[in-house]
Amino acid sequence: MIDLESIGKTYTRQTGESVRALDDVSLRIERGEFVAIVGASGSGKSTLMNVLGLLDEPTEGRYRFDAEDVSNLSLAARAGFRNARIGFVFQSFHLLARTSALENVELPLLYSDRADIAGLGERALAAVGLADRMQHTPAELSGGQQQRVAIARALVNEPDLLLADEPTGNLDAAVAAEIMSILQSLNRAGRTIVLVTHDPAMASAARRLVRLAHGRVVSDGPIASGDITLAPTVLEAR
Amino acid sequence: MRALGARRVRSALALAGAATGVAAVVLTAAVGVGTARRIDEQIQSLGANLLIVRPADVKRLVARQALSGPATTLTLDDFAAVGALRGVAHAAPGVSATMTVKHDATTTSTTVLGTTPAFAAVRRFHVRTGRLFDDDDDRHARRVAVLGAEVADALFAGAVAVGQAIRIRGVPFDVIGVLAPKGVLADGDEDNQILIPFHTAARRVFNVTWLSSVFVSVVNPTEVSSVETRIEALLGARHRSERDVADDFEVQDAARYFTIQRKASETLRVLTAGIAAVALGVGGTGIMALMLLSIRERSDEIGLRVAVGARPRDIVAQFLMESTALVVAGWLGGVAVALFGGIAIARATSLAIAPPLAALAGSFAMVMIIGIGFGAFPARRASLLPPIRAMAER
Ligand SMILES: Nc1ncnc2c1ncn2[C@@H]1O[C@H](COP(=O)(O)OP(=O)(O)OP(=O)(O)O)[C@@H](O)[C@H]1O
Ligand SMILES: [Mg+2]
Repeated sequence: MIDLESIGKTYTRQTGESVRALDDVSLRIERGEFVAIVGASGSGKSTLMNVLGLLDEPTEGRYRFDAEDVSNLSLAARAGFRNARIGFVFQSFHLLARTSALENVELPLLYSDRADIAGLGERALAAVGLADRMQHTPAELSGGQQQRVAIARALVNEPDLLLADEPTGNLDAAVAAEIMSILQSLNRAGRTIVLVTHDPAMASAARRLVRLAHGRVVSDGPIASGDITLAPTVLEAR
Repeated sequence: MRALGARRVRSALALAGAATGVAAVVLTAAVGVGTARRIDEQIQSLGANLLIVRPADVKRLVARQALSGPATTLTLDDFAAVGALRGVAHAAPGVSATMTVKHDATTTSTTVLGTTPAFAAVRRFHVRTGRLFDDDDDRHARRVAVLGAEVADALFAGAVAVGQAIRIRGVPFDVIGVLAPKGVLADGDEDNQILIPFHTAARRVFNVTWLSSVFVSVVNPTEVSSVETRIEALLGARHRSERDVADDFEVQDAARYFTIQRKASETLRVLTAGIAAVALGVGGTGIMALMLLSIRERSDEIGLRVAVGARPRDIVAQFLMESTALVVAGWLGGVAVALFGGIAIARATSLAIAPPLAALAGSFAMVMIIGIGFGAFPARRASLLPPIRAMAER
């Protein structure tokens, strides 16, 4: 599904010095995979996520998504592509304050040209076990619940790819395990997931591990799917 | 819209800022426009085509003492000659003085003007009740009087004046009419006078043969100054041939006084409009600052929206709508404040108020520019950033 070919990304700091965040990264990810990207801080994990998610453009290389070259899409075309095909989960949730869980989840639908959007928000919230919290605002929800709302938002438009950057970084261990088990269930139900983490325990939820160092892929291979589930799964397969 | 509701305090502040500025601009403009309009009306009611010939003040040596007073050289013949000039529509002679007038036990002091029926046409007077005197009354020097509205009030206090008897300097007169009020005019209170037939005045009240004024209306208002020149030439020639001295008369262009006044009010208007524009500017700057701040704070939201698929134009549309709603609400609020303020000012003071269309349109354009310039424009910039950068910026 995803084919990165010799991707490079160089940031130019305001001071003028340039930072090589990604260097000759080639990576293929097939439909249905659950890939964990690990590496030290500053190794380029988030940069790779942003490139994968079409949030940022690589400076070199080619990116094909389902055989379509998406390296040089216009700003608006990339927005449309993200909306329809990619879901994002961020470390710090990024929910709109003073806005209900349901409306947060429905946010991507606002920018979708799909016609059949009725009920999608409710269904996504139910899938993460928050059917009874639809009208709550983020301030009225726990951290784990907020991240589940964010996952529901990432899923609402039924994307091909789910990208999660340190989704458990702001959560304590028990809640983190709960979030990971949700991701695992989603993957078992067929969702392609790329997870960025520097926590080996979290990474062990995935089935393939890509290790970055200094912007390069230093190892890439399958891992035994260690089931880290500590809490009962709240998710029914979608 | 929900975002506006959520930032209630800030939105209220921005709104109040816009409203204050707009109210200041609209209100001062309303006073300015109202004043200008009133002056125009005065010029109109007075007659933009009115000239008045008066005797000049001259010094005479009487028993080795220098006395100063009006010349006694303006005559009925002069009036007839002026009336025959090209470009003159109507002319009326006048002889006048301030006198004590009495009805029963009530007395008042007022200007008594002896003139011909043409006066009403020249100075655009209308009778409210009764009638004006006519040529017949004048020819027979009948003792009939037409009261200005204020005099009628002073002497009769609301009771019917027509048919009553009054005494002017002891001479009995019948009131045959009351004039419709003209309002306060700057060249003297025209409602505070009594009109009597010219010959009655000259023979029975004043006992003079010279005129204290000749009222002239010009056919075409644009010819006022050329008719003025003609009158000056005519009278100069007539009078100098008899006495070899400087002009013993002066010709006043009644509209000129108001034109000067209008210019003065225009200056005042520009000045107050300037102050008001500064007020709007200050209010506007406040909104701009609040909007910029709000957009910076909401760059996280913008980044998120872009990440989940909003195109730059979606973001611009959203912020444009929010900021436009805010400034339009502020504008409406300001206009409402100005409306009530204007009504209050019109009630409490003698200032004239009129809807200031230019200020309404101008202030609307200004708040829209502020709304678009400082709502949508920075939002567009934020929407063009890579969403992750926008989300990281706090
Ligand atoms: N917008 C940017 N401008 C300049 N340099 C950047 C920018 N974003 C990232 N970098 C640099 O690129 C390199 C890779 O950053 P990246 O955020 O991808 O690392 P990471 O692996 O996600 O680290 P962490 O685990 O701390 O999140 C770092 O050296 C970082 O300083
Ligand atoms: Mg990172």
